[in-house]
Parts: sequence; structure tokens; C-alpha cells
Amino acid sequence: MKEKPFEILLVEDNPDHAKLVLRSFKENQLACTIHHVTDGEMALDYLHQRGAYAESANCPRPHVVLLDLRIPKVDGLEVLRVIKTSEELRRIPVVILTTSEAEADLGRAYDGYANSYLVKPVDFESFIHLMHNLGFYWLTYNRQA
Amino acid sequence: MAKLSANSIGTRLIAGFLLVAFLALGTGVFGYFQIRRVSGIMAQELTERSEARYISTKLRIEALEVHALVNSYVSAASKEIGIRSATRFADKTYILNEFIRQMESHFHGYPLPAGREQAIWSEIVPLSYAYLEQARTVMRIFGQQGLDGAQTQASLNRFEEIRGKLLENLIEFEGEETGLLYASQQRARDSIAQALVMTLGLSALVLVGGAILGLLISRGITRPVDHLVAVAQRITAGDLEGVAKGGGPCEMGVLAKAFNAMTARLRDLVGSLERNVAELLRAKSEQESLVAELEARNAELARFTYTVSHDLKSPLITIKGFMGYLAKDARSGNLEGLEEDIASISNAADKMQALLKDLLELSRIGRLMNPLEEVAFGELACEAVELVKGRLLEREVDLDIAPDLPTVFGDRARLREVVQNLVDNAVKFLGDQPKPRIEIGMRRDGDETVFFVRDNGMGIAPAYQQKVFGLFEKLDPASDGSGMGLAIVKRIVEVHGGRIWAESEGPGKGAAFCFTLPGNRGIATEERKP
Repeated sequence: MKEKPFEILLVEDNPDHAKLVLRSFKENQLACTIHHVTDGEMALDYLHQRGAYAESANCPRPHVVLLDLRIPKVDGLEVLRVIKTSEELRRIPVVILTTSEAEADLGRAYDGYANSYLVKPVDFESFIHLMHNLGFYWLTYNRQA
Repeated sequence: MAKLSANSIGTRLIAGFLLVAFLALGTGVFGYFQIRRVSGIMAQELTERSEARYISTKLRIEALEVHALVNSYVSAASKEIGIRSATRFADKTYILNEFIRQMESHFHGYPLPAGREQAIWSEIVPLSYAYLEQARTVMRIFGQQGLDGAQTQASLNRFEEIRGKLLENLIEFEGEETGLLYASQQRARDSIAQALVMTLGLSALVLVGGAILGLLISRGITRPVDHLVAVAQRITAGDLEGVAKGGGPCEMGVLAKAFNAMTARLRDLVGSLERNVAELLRAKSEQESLVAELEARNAELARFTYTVSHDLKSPLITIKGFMGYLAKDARSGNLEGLEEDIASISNAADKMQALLKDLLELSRIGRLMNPLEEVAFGELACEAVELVKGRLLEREVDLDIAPDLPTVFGDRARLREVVQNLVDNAVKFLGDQPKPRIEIGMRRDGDETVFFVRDNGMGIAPAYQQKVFGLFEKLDPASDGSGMGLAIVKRIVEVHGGRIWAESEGPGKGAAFCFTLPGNRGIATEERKP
């Protein structure tokens, strides 16, 4: 596991949020590569290695997907559904990372077999702390199938 | 309820019963008198026959007695016996003479049957007188000449001769009479039998007549009942127009009237029930449409709240995050990327401000409407274009407004906003089109006027053509704006009673935003009134 770099697919339409996530991961000095896409369509293209991501060298299979729910073109829940209904992709852990605290979103996400549901904290310290734990958990403790 | 009038069931029944009873009584009386009459006639005839026979028999006996007395006188052994015989003879002849006289008077005008009998009878009376005369002659001659006198024998012979003839006639008469008596008896039996048969026949006739009368009476009663039953069945089957005719006995008339009143009441009830149901259904459908509208509003509100909370929270996270890093960098003296972070914060704050402004705007639509007025759409389009002139010039857009745009009815400022937003939107998504072109025009779809703002820019994939009107929907996250422009446009068009939709053959093929404004029809005219 250590020999291969840890790949994360970040699906986030807000560039500032993406920047914050990338920066906190960088500061945690975690050995991982984050691939950032900005909408649902791109995320699916990446996962299926098609369209702009036809070159499989540029888009290794991620070890975990960080998925925002409200993203353009293809909705986050739809992306989740596609991943979890695909023979090929369904073992990839999907962590929902969103601003939404709505019960409905939470329920729908777990109904779609999301592996985790995280709400972006408004508070900076909490945000940093969450990102740290998130990276640490998935990289260090979690065992991949 | 029903009075015992001439036409009632009771009267009919009683009348029928009385008629049959009267006829039966009549038949009985007829039979009685018939038999009595026949038996009366027969009795008279029988009496007369018997009398005639009796008289004939008596005459014969008397004649024989006279003969015996003559013989005993003639052949008397002594003078005493002879005198006694002569005395008795005198008595006897007197009696016989009287009898014949009586008989003659009795039979005078006697309705003797014609024919042989009469012929015999007409001989008997003279023969009887002749016999009597001859008996007297014999007695006289015997008294003068004795038994051996010449005339005595001759008169005796003559007497014997007459006697034989008389007896012969009488016997023959009696035989005739007996035959006639038997015939009379037979006739009497026949007549009585005939009278009986007639009476029985009449009784049977009365019986049949009574049965027919009963049938007629019962028909007269049951026919209106059957009619009423048929009408009732029709009504049961749902045909409330059935009316019972009031024929037949007066009770049936009363019943039919009550029945018709009941049907009319039922019709009224059903009518009012139907009206109530229609009213209820109308109210229900009204309520349902209201509920549907409310639900739609609620769903919109929920979506609104949800997106607002999300979209307002988003810049907050950005601001707090970059502020955190800014503070951290400041502490460590790392000034690299400082300006970029500050720009991010500033952008996020601007976004929040824009969002709040648009939210306010959206909440006003439908609530704050300017007075509706006639608006020349071409003029309005020019005004709207003027407001976005800067961007159009920047992209060197070739803008074309159709010359013959009609006049519409609506809120001038809002409609201008619609055109402005659509043109703004079109400019925003022109993409890398080297010869950008935007066209404002109209076309007729059936009896509908469809306005459109068409561009030759990026176009919209069919899957997103409906989505673009959603609140905070942004197909391109990099584009500026709150994602509320088209939502606002849609809301304004809908408030004017119109519809809006996007048309595009796909990415890269340009897009057209089409909308209708019912104009003088629909809500606009209603809202003009205060």
C-alpha cells in the first residue's frame, strides 16, 4: 500500500473551497495526490477514464472520493449513485463533503451507500482539524478492499 | 284516505258481488217459475186426461149396470124380483141420464185432441143416449109383450148391439186416453228436465259471467298497480322522469298522485344533491389546485431555504478559511499569496452581497408589481439592450432586434428586466464564438405569440435545458453571477401568466430562450382593476 501513492478525487465546484482543502492537506504533509474536478460530469469522466480523462495515466483510480453534493451538471447524489451501482467502482469509499446539514441530504446520501457524510465547518480551526483527521483516517487507518 | 266514491275498489267489489248475486237469484227465480209453469200445464193436462178416463170408465160401469138390470128384469124368476129390478132400473137410468148430461156439459168445450179420439168421443155421447133409449124401449116392450113378444127379441137384439158398440167405443176411448196420459207424463218429464237444463245452463252462464266480471274488476285494479310497479322499477333503475298515470279506481289515482309527488321530491333531492356534489367537486378541485399551488410554493420555499442556507454558508466558509490562513501566515511572517487570499475573501463577500441582493429581488417579484400598462415590446427591448451595452460592445456582439414587435400588457420595469437578464445571460455564455450574434424577436406558434432571445453561443445540452431555470443552478461554476438570473426571469414571466423555456440543439449550437406573455388576456386584465 505504501509503495503506491494515495490518490484522492476531490469533486468540488467552489474554487475557494477546493483551495482550502488542498492547502490543509498539503500542510498535513500527507503522502497523497489530490485530483480536483469541478462538476459531476467531469467526476464521472474521470472515474470512467473517458472524455478529457481518456489517458489512464493522468487519472489513476482514486482510493477515496471527496464528493460535494451541490455541483453543476450532474448532481452529487447522481455521481454517488453511478459509483455505487457500478461493479467496477462501488468499492471506492465515497465521503460526502458538503455545506448542507439538511436531514434529507444526509438520508439520501446514506441511502445511496455513501461511506461517510461530513459537513464543512464554518469555523477555521474546526475545518483544519476535520481535514487533518480526514486525511489521517483514510490514509492511515482505513483498509482498502 | 280514499273515500268510498263510485270509483273506489270497495265500490267495484261490492257492485260486482251484488251483480253476480242478483244474476244468481234471477236464475233461481227463473228456474222456479219455469218449472212451476211447466208443471202447472202438465198437471192440468194430466187431470183432464184422468178425468176423461174416469168419466169413460164410470160411463162404462153404469152402462154395464143398466145392462145387468135389464137382463135381470127380463129374466126375473119372480114378479117381486122383476118389480125391484124395474124400480132400480128406473133409478139407474135416471142416474145414467144425469151422468150423460153432466158428462156432455163437462166435455162441452173440452179441448179434446184432434183426430181419432175426437171422432170416438163424438160417437160416444149419441151412442150413450141411444143405449139409454133402447134400454127404456126394451123395458117398455118387455112390459107389454113379455119375453116372447115379437118386438121384445128385436129390441133386445138392438139393445145388445148398441151396448156392444158403446162398450167398444168406450174401451177404445180409454185406450186412447191412457196413451195420451202416458204421452203427457212423458212430456211433463221432458219439460221439467228441459226447464232444469235451462236453469242449470243459465246458472253456468251466470258463473262464467261472474268469473269474467271478477277478472275484469281485478284487471281494473291490477292494471294501474302493474303500471305503478313498472314506473317504480323505472325510477329504481334511475330514470326519475317516470310519471304514474292515475287511471283505474280512485284509490289508485290517490296512490299515483302520492307516488308522483314522491318522485318529484326525489327528483328535487337528487337534483339538489347533484348540484351539491358538483359544488363540492368544484370546491374540492379548487381546493386541490390551491393545495397543489401551495405545495409547489412550499417545495419552492424549501428549495429556496435549502439553497440559500447552502449558498450563504459557502462564502462564509471561504471567508473564515482564508482569514484563518491569513492569520496563520501573518504570525509566521509568510506574505506569499497574501493578496490572492484577500481577493478570495473579498470575492466571497461580494458573492454574499450579490446573493442577498438577488434574494431580495426574487422575494419582491409577485409582491411588488408596478401598475400594468401597454408596453411596446420593441421599445422595451431597446431599453434593456442599452443597459447591457457595455458588455455587448466588449464582446463585439452583433445585436438584432426584430422591427415589428407587438405591444404587450404588463409591468414595464419587470419585462425590461426579463429582456436584460436574457441578453446578459446570452453574452455570458457566448463562449469562444468569433462572430457573436444575439437576436431578439418573435414568432407565432398557433395562436400564441412567442418572444425569444437567441444567440449563437455555447448552447445547452438537452439534459440541462430545464435545469437552468432552477434557483442557484449554475452549469458553469466558473461563471460569475449568483445563479439566480434565470430563476428571476422565470418568476417574472410566470407572474405575467406566461411560460418560459430554453431551446438548443446542443453544446456549441447556440441557444434560444423563449417565453410567452398572454398580454391582454389572462391575469393582466384582471390585475388592472384595483
